[in-house]
Amino acid sequence: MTARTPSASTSFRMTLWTKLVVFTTLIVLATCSTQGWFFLQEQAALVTGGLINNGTFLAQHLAVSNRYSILVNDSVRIRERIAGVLTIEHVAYVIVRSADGQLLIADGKEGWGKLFADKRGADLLSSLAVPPPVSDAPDNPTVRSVLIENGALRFVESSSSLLDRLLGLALTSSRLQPWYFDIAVPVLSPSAAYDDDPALSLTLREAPAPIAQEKVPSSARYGTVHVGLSDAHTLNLLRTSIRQALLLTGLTIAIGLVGVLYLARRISAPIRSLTATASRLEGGDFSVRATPASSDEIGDLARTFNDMVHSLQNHERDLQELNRTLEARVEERTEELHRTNRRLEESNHLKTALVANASHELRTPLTAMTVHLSNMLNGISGPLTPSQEETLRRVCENTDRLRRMIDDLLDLSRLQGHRLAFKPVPIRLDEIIQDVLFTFHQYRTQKHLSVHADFPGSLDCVWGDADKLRQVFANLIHNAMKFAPAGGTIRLTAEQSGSAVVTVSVADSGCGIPAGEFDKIFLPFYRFPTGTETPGSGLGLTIVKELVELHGGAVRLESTVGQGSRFFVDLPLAAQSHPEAPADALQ
Amino acid sequence: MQSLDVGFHGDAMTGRATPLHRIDPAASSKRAASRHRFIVLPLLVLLLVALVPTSPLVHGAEVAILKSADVTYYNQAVQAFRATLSPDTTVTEYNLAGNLARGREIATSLRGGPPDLVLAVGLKAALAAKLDLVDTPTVFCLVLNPESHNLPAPNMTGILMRVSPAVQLASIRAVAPHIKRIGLLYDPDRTGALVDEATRAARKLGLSVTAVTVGNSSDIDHALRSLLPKIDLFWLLQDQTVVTQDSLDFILRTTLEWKVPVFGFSPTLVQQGALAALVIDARDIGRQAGTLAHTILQGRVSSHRPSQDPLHPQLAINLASAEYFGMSPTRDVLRLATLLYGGLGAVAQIEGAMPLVP
Repeated sequence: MTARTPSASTSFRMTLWTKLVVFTTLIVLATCSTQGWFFLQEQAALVTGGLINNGTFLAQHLAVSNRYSILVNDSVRIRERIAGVLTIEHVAYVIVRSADGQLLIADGKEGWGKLFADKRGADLLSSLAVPPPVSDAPDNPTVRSVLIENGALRFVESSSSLLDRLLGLALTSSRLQPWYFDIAVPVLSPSAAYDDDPALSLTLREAPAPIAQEKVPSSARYGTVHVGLSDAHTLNLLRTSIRQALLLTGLTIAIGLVGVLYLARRISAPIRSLTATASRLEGGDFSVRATPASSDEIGDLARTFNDMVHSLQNHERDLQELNRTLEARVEERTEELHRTNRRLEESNHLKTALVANASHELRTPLTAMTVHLSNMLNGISGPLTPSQEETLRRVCENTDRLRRMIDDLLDLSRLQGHRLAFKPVPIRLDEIIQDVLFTFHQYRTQKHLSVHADFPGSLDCVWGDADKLRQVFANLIHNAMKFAPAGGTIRLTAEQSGSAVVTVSVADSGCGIPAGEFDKIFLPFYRFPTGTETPGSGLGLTIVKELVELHGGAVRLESTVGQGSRFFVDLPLAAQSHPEAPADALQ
Repeated sequence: MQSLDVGFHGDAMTGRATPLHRIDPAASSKRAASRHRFIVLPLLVLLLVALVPTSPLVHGAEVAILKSADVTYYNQAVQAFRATLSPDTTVTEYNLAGNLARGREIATSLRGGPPDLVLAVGLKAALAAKLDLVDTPTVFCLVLNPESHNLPAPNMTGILMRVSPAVQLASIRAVAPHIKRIGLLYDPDRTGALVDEATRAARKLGLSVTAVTVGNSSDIDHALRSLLPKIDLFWLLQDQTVVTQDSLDFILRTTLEWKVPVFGFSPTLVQQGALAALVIDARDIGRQAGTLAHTILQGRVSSHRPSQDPLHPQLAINLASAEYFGMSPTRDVLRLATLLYGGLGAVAQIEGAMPLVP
């Protein structure tokens, strides 16, 4: 089971449930709040617009209906009509001015009537004396907000929308100080278009003096009508709307929140269950299964998870079965190898014994043959003819050769069977080499070979068996002489590497050995094909390798085809190998 | 459109007016040929044409239309007039754009090749024709006070805009049979003759007419208030001193307050609360002018003749006003009425049927 990788942030972890709830709640809140705000804005705008439209209509109606009365200054008639308008709930005051701005009539209800009638009425009205810049378009009234503060009027130049007071409406339950919208409409002479009424149009327009341009419908201004509207009633309506909107928004948010919580739980619970199941699976319990709680993607995930677990379980079972059978097969194969190995060892032993026995059995008659042949060549058995002598000499050579082959076989079998006596002592290599060279002096002379030996006098003794080392260098030198051409050169060097090893090299000027043959050259009976018939059993280098390794050394080869070969023999120094050896033995 | 074209659009003037709007560009050349062609069968054809008063005009006539301004009712009259013309009549239309001087220039230019007949629509066109087309038969229409301008001239005749007082009084009797006392305001300088005629006509019908003079529109207030208690119906004449933009609304409201119905001359006033009116339609005037022009061109009548009263005035009644005044026009009267109104106007407002604050 692998260790669980710790998450990047271990101090705070926001679960899926939390994320869903938090972010969805934020979205719901933002959406509901935004919609609620826009709704309230629109309500305020509608209410404000409606109030102003009503006031505009009233002002226009008053302007039209009192047009002539204003023109002729019929204050009685005007006042009668104003009284009717003041019965409307949200109309606070009505003011009528003449064309030059003079106040004709001013009347109002609640505080306004008193203001107009009060001593301060003159001051109050004087503040209204400067008429606002009323446009000449009756459809485009001038609207301003008016407050009464300490008995004085104050025109509020800010937006006439009730939206400015929205917060106050929402937060307080107390009665707000009403504002007033002053709607001013010009009193204009009527238009005399009457395009579809020629009788009326011509009566109004046809000038008595036709030379002059006919009377253009004049738009003379007769005066201005101000209608003041209180927003108190409207504020109450708006307050009610705000509270309803807040209630509805809150309800929507609450319902949304409940929905979010339910949905988050529906989403996160199966995932948590699946996580727990996966953890148990990780622990190796393949019997666990997730419970698909729904038919949606999460249910699909649970079902797919179960399929995966089932598949894993099957694979696990197969692996275990495979593992078990594998172990059995390995054991079986190992046993088989052991048996084979034992058979091979037995075969080897049998082979070695066979070789030894055969060699020994073969040497006995061969020795007898050699003796008799020697006797015959010496004339002991009688005189021989020259041809007989020649024949016997060749027989002797072959028997010698056979004997050497048998000796080599016997030596090899003893080496491989570890039955060869090994009596190492400190040995001077130059003496060994000298003995060997003396042995092959005649052969060397016959081939006119030059032998160069370079052995430093300071060369330390090596630890070895003299006979074995003599055999090693005999084989190497004999091979060098054998493969060197007539008149060639044999070089012998010795070099001491530090205080551990002495390396002796034997180099010839023969045909050389290809690099691909280096591994084979030390195999038994392997003879490198030189193209000419060279005597030998093919065991010499094998014996050299066995004997050098017996001494704890190593043999190496360097060769260049066409130039010759060089064999290196590394032998351990006596002092290094056996420091307890007597000092005089190392001289 | 050529840059120097004149006439219909009245955009520019040249020394010689170039007719712009020709129904048949080759009409002048056809004219001579047609006259020769019909010389063998003239009597029968002319007899037939003469027996059918509404049949199209004499083939190949050239008619010039002088229009005082480009206003809706002038255009309606012109359109209706043109509909009475035969297809091969050459019609040239000129717009004075409210400028008498321009009209005189046009008339002067027409003298070079005078048309067979001139239709003058509106006062300025009529005056231009009177002053500068003295020999050309002219029919005028839609002139409010032709007598004030010495119209018609010897070569002219026309269609008046006022329905005769007798017809109006008859209508009043029909709509409001119980009415006995009729009051009116007038400026003697403007409608003195009309009032005299009305008084005579009323006497014949057993009605009394109380006429109060006003010198200017500021007198209306006092005059009306003094008149209203004495009358059963207020007769609003087409008097330019009484009827102004300012006084109309006042008159209507005051009479409504006093519950005195108003009989007028305008459908607009009926719509605004007057009880009824005899109104003229510009299209009817145009057709009547066309018929008159037809007879002149046929030679059956002379252009020098008295002006005609409108032959087809329309009765307009406000049913809501009638109900307000406690009247119930008979079914016959309602069948006679061409324009019926009900519900809109000051009556509904005062009754409170529609609140002041919608």
